[in-house]
Amino acid sequence: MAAPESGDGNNGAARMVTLISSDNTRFEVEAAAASLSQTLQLTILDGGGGGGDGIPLPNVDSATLSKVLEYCIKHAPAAANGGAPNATAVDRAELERFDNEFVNIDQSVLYSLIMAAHNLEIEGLQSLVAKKVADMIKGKSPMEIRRTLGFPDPTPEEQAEMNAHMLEYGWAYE
Amino acid sequence: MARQMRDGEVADSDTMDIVASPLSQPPGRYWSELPLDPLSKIFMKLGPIEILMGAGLVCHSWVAAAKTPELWRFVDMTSHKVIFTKDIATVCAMAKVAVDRSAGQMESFWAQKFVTTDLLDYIASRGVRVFILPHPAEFFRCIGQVRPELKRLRIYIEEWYDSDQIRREMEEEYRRNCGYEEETEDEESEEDWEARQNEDAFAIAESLHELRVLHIAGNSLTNKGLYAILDSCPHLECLDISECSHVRVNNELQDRCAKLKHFVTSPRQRHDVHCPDLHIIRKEEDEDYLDYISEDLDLRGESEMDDDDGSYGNYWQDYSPPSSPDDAPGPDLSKVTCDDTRFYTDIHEYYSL
Repeated sequence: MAAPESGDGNNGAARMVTLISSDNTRFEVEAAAASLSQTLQLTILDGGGGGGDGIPLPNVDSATLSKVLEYCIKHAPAAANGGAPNATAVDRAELERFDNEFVNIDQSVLYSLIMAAHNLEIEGLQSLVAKKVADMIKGKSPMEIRRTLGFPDPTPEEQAEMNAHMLEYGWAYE
Repeated sequence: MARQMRDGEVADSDTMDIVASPLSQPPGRYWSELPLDPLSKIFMKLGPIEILMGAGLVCHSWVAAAKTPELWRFVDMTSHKVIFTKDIATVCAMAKVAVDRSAGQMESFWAQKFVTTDLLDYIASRGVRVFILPHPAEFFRCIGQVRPELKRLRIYIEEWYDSDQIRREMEEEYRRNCGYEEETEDEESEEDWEARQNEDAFAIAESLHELRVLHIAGNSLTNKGLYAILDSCPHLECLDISECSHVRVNNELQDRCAKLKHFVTSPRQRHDVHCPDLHIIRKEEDEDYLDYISEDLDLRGESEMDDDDGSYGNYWQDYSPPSSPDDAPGPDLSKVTCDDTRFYTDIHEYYSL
């Protein structure tokens, strides 16, 4: 793990990296937190993201990236402990509380987070947002799910396809 | 019909390009464009019933995603309330769709007592390796009919299905509803009681003579039931009766079990016995238990035997004794009794074959 110290002017302190969102906002964050992203981890191990370079993330806007980093910073210490086998119950409860609060967000933000977690390959976040969506649509009929997630009204073709499926799988939620 | 999103924004995607933020896309529409990977993760959290009844029918792309075989590798149809409210034919039809969609990749199927012999055959013929069911004694008989050659039976459940108890409760309710006076119920004789406790054991003894491995942890059987099994399953090599509170470990029992290679009467012993079949499948929170099963399957895979008749694929694999050098026999297990109540609580509600 002997990543080369790039001249980021943080002698002695934790190594920092810079991430650049699609709308050109720069975020400076501890390498350990950014490394929760499998995608970024390799770049960071190669010494990227330090100094004035920064790692461009053309798929993630600044609002989403700041949210993603909030998650990473919170979860980095536990992740550094190898999944924190020795974490106290209090720590775990605190993370759980944070997670619940974290996904209590607008749907469009949630969607952006799903895409960001997917693109950046942040496993814990992927699981968290998937769980949130699953909870939102659990026990609902296909039409109710469409309404919950704000799908547009089905086109006649879509409606016909849905009807056919509903007929084929007669057990669907009505 | 309240739509939460604003459809007016559909057209103003002026800056849209390949890497544009999803925010610039029309609201609502984007959920149907969710890539397969995140969508699969959502489906995994939902479980098979919800996919079949709701999410898997939402739109064209979600229907397609719901047919990804990877989603159907581990199918748990035990815990959803729909299982208890739909009729058996419907639930079995859903199970068949699950099996079909797995495209031969299904590794384990967890079921409630809705399973029919027809479904059992259907799943078996597609090579599903692990199959888990809750248990009425009739189920053993039914298995005995379709698969008399069954060699491994693993059951581990929280509460054993007590048909007698349920029947009594129903009768009582019926009497109450009809305004009958509470009838004085006959005290159950000791014989009747023992016969009731051994219902499962007798069914096994009656139907499954080829068993090599039997786990019936937490079962209500008594020594009598156990002897019936030992008598009628002469090839039995591996027996787990931990948490069976009615079994008394005495000299007779020890003598009778002396020929077994592995005999476990307490969960503690499982750690000492190097037998691949003594691993318990247990359902942890959320998806964690899937890993557990995978591990279990790996262990089974290692002990796979070639002399399987092959007609059922890997389903119900033969048991083969452990062969690696550190598989020395465990400590003297016969001195441990299962009367320790500490071990009665952590029992799970799944049956496995």
